[in-house]
Amino acid sequence: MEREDILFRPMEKTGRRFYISAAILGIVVLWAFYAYISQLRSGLGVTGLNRPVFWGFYITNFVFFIGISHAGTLISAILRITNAEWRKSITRSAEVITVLVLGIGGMNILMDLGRPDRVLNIVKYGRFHSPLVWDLVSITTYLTASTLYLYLPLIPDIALLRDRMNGPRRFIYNVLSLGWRGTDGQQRILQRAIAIMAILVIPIAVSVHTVVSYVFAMTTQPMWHSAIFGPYFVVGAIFSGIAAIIIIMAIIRRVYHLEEYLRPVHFKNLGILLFVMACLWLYFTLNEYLTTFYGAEPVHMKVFYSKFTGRYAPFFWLMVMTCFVIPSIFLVNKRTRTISGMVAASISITAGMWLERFVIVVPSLANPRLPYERGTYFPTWVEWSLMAGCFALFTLLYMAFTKLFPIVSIWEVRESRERGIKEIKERVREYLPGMEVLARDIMTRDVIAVTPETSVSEIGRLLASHRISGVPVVDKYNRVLGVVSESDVIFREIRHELTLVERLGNIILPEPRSEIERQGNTAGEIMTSPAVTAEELTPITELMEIFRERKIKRIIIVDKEGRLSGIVSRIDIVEAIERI
Amino acid sequence: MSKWGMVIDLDKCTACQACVVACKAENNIPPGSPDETERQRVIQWMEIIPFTSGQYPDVRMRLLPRPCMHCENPPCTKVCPVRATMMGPEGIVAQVYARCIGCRYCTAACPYTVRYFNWHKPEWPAEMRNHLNPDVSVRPAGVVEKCTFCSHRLQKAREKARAEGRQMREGDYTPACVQTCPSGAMFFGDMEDPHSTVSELIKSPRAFRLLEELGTEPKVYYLSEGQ
Repeated sequence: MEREDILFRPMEKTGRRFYISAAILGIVVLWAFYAYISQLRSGLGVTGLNRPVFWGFYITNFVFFIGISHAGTLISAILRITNAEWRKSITRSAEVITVLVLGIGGMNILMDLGRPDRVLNIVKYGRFHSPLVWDLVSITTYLTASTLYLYLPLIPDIALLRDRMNGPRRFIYNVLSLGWRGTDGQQRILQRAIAIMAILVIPIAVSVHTVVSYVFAMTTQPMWHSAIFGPYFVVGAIFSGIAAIIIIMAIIRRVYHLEEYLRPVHFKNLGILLFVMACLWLYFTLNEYLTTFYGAEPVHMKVFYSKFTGRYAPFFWLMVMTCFVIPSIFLVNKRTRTISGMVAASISITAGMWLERFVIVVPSLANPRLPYERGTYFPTWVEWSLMAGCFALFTLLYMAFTKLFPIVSIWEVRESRERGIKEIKERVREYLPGMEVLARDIMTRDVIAVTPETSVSEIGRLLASHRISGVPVVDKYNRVLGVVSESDVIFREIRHELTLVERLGNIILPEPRSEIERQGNTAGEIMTSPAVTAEELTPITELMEIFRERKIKRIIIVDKEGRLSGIVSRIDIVEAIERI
Repeated sequence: MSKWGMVIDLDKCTACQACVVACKAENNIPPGSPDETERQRVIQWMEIIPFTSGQYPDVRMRLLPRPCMHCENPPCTKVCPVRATMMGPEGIVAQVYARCIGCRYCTAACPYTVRYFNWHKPEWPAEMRNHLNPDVSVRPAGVVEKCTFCSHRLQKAREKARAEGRQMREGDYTPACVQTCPSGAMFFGDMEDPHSTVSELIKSPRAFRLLEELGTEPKVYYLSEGQ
């Protein structure tokens, strides 16, 4: 229990450093608020936007922040579904990013509106042909789903806090914990709810960034009208999202001394994922630009060259450097695959992905199809301030979250410690050869077998003297023909003495042939054939399944040629399980 | 039902910009300060755009008056999230200033870049303020606006024809730019009427439309310079 104190400490003690940084961030947020008020008063003219560059920083930030949101929930859901044990101490910190950043992304759309006072017109007069309406629908769905997905695994932790804290906070935790006591029933419901959300959230997350890309791709504008944009945006989103997780994890690790919980292995695993995404990003980028270049349509080439050699070339090449070249150097080299190396790569990627959004939004607008004067765009202090405000607000809210709730899922880590190793062992046994107990390992090898010619009375004697309940019947090559069980012998005895009614019945209607045959005097005549058999390499779990389904007492084990090699009874299974 | 369209004969056009000025006066478009012009924010529903071709010394410049194309298949209307822009039954693409939220998606989606945004509250010099056209609403800051083919003139023409108890005739409804054109290079009328001037003119082998390959079906035709 004591080792968990470090996880509770941020909620119990708040130092001076926290207040100082919160104050600085608060000032930045207030400054951004002032900038926004001045934009509200005199219109979007205070920005550097113009015709034809109608969209600039705000839309870039919108796409960027929505992209970051893919980190948390999507990654966490995928890791949860694939039972990646190492996820347990990192998912919470990732999920919080999603929820906060989605709100900030949405705010950027609001900042971009000429008439934010009329934003509800989207609900009142919404036109479903518009990709912006698709955005609204999918982003609000994602925000709801990811908030729920953050909240559900938080409930047991809130209950822990409720039991630990005093004062007014206790009241809040009391309400939020929804009366969690950790009973079996509650656990079941919670696990089920989390599992449902984890699956539900993945298609929603993919749809969100696909739809964000549609805002551009659905128009016919040069270098926007591209079918690759959906997956390209989703890949970029996950890419920048993982980078954001790494940066934030490194910060909370340092600030809250979580070295024991956020270990180098977490960074290493995320780093590998990050490098995979970097390669995917390069692949998509190559596809996008190569097809444009090869097609060489003049209007597209105008945009293409403005990125490759023209006004936006510095941004474009910086993007290639920061999104791929620099992170690759850090991630490929084993010596730089340290936490600080990974953080450096992640900062580079975050900056690069912002540049990517910018290089998608602005150059296409700046190069319209008709020969107008080319657009130029320089953001003003208002746009810079609002962007700084977005980052500051995000950090501030994230800090506030760490002060209210544990940033590492306490109950999941605890559960892992108690049950994790056993669960993993069981899981590994399922698929790893040599880990599974096989029929061969538990079967009785010296089996008493009979031939078809053995008489029933002889079998009865064998069963009684060896205290067994059945014998296999084999031919002269030791191949299993059938099995004679106690019940076969008993059945025959009963059959032998027919009741009066049956005798009368037999006179009127002759008995079916099989019944008559079963009343024979040799093993071959009364045996059940074919016998239920299994091969030597059948795993014990499958044997158990056979027992359950066929409701039999023993399974004859045969080799590949069908020759008798042993027998497994239900008691053998019980003993085997006992040994495990 | 009529479909209104425009034909601009480039052989006759002198690029005098009378149409640009007439449009501004008719539609209460502020003149725009030098500073705003510098920042590429000036609003010109009708604009002269230069097409240059050839290399020095054989450079050729063609100037082309460009109103809104009033596409039959407009890319701007379907992206509007609030139905603030739509094509009317007579083919005029209209903007509802009172509903527009200023997201500028239509401006970004228009391949002709004919849509304009009100970056500020519109301002006029004191002496012009009393001469605004009462038939056209002044747009607030933060909304998108565009060429309407002077649709307020259509309303007036239709009411007048109704008052006189007759059908609309050719020439009843003419946008300000067409009416002004000193060299008679611009024509306007009903494209559905096979006998109208515009219908006759677009049969010419010189007739073309801008960015026809996009399938937007503009209702503004040009007659190329013949030789």
